[in-house]
Amino acid sequence: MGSSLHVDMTLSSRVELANLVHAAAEEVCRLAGIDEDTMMNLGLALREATVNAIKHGNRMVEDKPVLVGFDLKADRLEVSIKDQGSGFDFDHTADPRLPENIEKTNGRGLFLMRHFVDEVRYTHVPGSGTTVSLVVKLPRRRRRGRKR
Amino acid sequence: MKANTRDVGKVTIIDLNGKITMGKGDLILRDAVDGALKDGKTRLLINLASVSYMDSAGIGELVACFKRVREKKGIMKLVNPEGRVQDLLALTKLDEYFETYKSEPEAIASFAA
Repeated sequence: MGSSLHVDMTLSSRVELANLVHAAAEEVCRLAGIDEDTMMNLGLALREATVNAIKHGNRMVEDKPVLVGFDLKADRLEVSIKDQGSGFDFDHTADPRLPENIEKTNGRGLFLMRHFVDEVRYTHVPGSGTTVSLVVKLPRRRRRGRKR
Repeated sequence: MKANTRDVGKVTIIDLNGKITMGKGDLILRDAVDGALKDGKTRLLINLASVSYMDSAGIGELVACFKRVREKKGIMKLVNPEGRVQDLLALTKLDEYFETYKSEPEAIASFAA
């Protein structure tokens, strides 16, 4: 296949659909020739982002869609997750590893996302929603058909 | 995910199999722990040998279960976290929060200490 690929998904805000997104991420990674470890990491990060979009962004209102887009380029795979929520303080989320937070039962999703992928970007447009983008950088040799 | 509960002496072992993730695995874990507590079991050992991974909800549920057991004056420990599960516990520093063992006999013996 070529070095580019694009997949769009529109989900109802149902938490169980995070499984579908996770599976889609794995398949996109397979098509792209991405290694299993990276594939697993992306799948987990994407699962977190999707659940956040459903639970916090769209407040579990089923009719509110979450848009997931996979964009494979020569040097990276970008996955965007867009909800209709009012955003959050992306730059100041609490560190779940601190003693005062360790017993909290939530608040680890963004921390895990940041660990599992190379870049996490955040955009909020008032009235439109919030987009979290996950970026996985790809090695140059991933390009198919080119010999060095 | 599936949960199977068995007793070894005074310790109740909950064997988990699958993924501890939001919406299903986390609830199965919760039900298994709550079921044991309802039966008066307060020495719980969560066997993670067959858990392939957890998401943040699954991790949160482990913490929630630990706190609920503690409220009932009980003890909850972990045994056999493997691969990604072990990595996740270390990453979130929960390997320092939970008492975790690499063998079931060792874990069971620790309850007597």
